[in-house]
Amino acid sequence: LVDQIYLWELEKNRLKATPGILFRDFLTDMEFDQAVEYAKELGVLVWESSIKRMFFITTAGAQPMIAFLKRKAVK
Amino acid sequence: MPRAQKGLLLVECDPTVKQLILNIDEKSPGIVIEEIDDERLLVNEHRLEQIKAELERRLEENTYQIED
Repeated sequence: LVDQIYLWELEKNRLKATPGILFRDFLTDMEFDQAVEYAKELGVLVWESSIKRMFFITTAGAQPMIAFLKRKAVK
Repeated sequence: MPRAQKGLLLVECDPTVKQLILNIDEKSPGIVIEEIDDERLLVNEHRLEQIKAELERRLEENTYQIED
């Protein structure tokens, strides 16, 4: 499943926009790192910042990632 | 519990365009969700058409068009 990517020309400037989901508000580095690793395994990670404890994945990864985080929250 | 924010776009563009998007956001807040670096930011997907229209208008204002 390939996400649609928007592309358009602005004069000489090209702009690329990738749709997806931002995950934030992780309480610990460990919780954050585990989720990032899982996103990498799924092949959906677009951007991550350990300083901000945020990462961005493509929409294709939304359901498995949310399920993963819910499983973690139960433990 | 971490929070998931849906309906976003990761925009990759040159620094000039990025600055223009930030200016648009200042006048009409809620577009920019997160600045990443000089050439990337996260924006609200529902504002894409507005961003596109505003950018085209502003870039046109700042460009001399040579017609033959």
